[in-house]
Formats: sequence, C-alpha cells, structure tokens
Amino acid sequence: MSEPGDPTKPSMPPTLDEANRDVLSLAEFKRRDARGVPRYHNFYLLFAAPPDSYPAIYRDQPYYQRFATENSKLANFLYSSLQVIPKTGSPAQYLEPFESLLYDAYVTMRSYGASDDDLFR
Amino acid sequence: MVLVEEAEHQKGLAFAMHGLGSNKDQPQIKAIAEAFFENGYTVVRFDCTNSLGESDGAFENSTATNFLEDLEDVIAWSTSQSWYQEPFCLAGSSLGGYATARYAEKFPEKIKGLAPKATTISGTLSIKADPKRSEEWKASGWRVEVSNTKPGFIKRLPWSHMEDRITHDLLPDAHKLTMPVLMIVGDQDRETSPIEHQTMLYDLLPGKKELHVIKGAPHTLRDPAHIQEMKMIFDAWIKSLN
Repeated sequence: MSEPGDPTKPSMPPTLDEANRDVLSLAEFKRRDARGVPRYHNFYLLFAAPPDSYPAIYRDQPYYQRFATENSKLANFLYSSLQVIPKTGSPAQYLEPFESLLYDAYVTMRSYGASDDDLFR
Repeated sequence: MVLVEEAEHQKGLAFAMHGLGSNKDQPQIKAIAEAFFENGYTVVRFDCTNSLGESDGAFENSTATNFLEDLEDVIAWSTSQSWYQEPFCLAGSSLGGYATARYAEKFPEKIKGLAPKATTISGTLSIKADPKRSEEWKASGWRVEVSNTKPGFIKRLPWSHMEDRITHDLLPDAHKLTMPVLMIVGDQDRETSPIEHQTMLYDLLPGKKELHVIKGAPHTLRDPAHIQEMKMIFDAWIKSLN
C-alpha cells in the first residue's frame, strides 16, 4: 500500500481488467533493444517534454489528464525530475533511476484504457 | 540512374538521396557521399524519377510518394548486389530526407544510422512553413521557380504535389526511429525546413541523436564553407557508429 504523502506511489492502485491483460511486466517495460532503446520508447516524454515542445501535446490526452489529476504527486515528481534530460545523446541512460516510477504511471494509464501504442509513441 | 561507389575494403553501406528538383550530383549530396566513402562505406546515389537528373520523368510529376517508392526500388535492387549488407545507413536532404526517414520508420531493423538533413517533416508543416506561398500556389494551381541546380530550367510544380505531400507525415511513427539519428539544418532555412519544425521530429527520437545547426546556411547548402562544415559533422557521426 502507498504511504500517505509518498510522491513516488500512485494514489490509486491500478486494476487490471480483461482489457489490460497484456500490460507489460516491469522487466518487459524497461527492456532495452539492441540499440539500447527501452521498450517504452517515448512514454517518458509525457513528463519530460518542456511545455513549449511538440511532444507536450500528448499531455492533452484524457488518460494523461486523468492520471495527473488522480496522481498529482507522482505526476509532479516525474515532471520535475525529468525536465533536466539533455537534448543530445541517448535519453535512456538518464531514465534508469526513474523507471520503476514510470512503470507505475504506465500501469495506471493502461488501467484507464490507454494502449501501449498510445503511450509509447 | 544509380551510381555506386564501391569501397575497396567495405566497412558499411550507405544510400544518399537528393531533394525535390535536384539530383545525385548536387554538391551537398556528393559531400555526404564522400564522408561515407572516406570512412570505408560503399555509397549509392541515384536520380529520382521526375527530378532534374538523368532518370526519366517530368518534374511536374514529382511527389513525396514517388521519392519514397524510388528509394524502396533502389534498395530492393541493391539486395541482389554483391556489396549489399544490412544494417545500412540512410542520408538524404529535404524531400530525400523525408523518404529516407520514412523508410527507416517502416524498416528500422535494417538501418544502422539515419541522417536526414533539412528534412521535410510532413506536408502539413511544409504548408505552415510558408503559408503565403502555399496560398498563392493553391490559388494558381502551380508553383513556378527558376532552378538553381539546372541553370535555365523553369520548375513548374502543380498543387497536386502538395495534395500528395499532405498524406505524408514522419511524426506519428517517429518513435520507431530507434537507430542513431543525425539531423542538420541551416539557421537561415526559414521557409522550407525551419529549425522549429526540425525539433518537433528531433524531440520524438527515442535513441541516440544529434541536431546540428549550421550558422548562415539556407535550405540547400551551396557555400563551400557550409558544405565543408556539414561534411565534418557527418564524418564525426559516421565514426561514432562503429
């Protein structure tokens, strides 16, 4: 169970219904391909994209809006933590410390009905 | 028309593709090819159909679709050649940048590295880059320009070119570009591939990536200093792939 006030835990535990049985495990979620790119591709941009950047438009999606409302502490923590990722090089190397939290966010948004294609693009 | 420069001791394979209303012998395309060749790559350059090179067709029939199909045809032909190897590198300028990047989105496992220079991102963004010219083009039905690549040639392009281009967009599948990507653009490229549009694609690249802005450079590099700067960027990037 989440500790009260713990920003690293979703305030609502995700529920896996029939539609979400193909949710990735944490190991699958963060598995790197031969080039070192994690399976979740651009999922981190939901938090890392600066407000004036193109990927920030993905935050308009209902699943993110709901997540940010219901899990504001985690959303704000990830947002503030991931704004410092350098623009050059490989983003994955900077994301490793946050992948468990990103996974919590992923599972939660999957429970809202978002698909991997929606979340990883 | 395809030109293959075969490396004596081949370390890799690269395709270099020109942009709209251009050809394989444009200095900036030759410089990209040289950068690969000097690093031990066999390099394939070709004239797209409906372009201003040695291949067939009329410029007014040139489309983004025909650029992509030509690239697919050349790569398909290459698979039967002794020098063919995977993964290979793709580089292209402007509409050639679009075709190479779109191919890489479709077949990411085949690509060692991707280098779209001043690339077209989408038809929608092409219109937004210069809305006034687009309005005039649509109203008159034609865009008419004097060619810099082929002196004396008047380039006439129907609005149907844009109707085709609007169906093309790199952004929805940009997350599939997991290979190392090098992007280059001139800071004076304001009405064709402005830096603001380049960063939209760049921000969506999930793998190892670089974006270089060449100061004072327009859309098509013709100044030898700009071309040399681009070649040096390519050289360092190609070396980083090994």
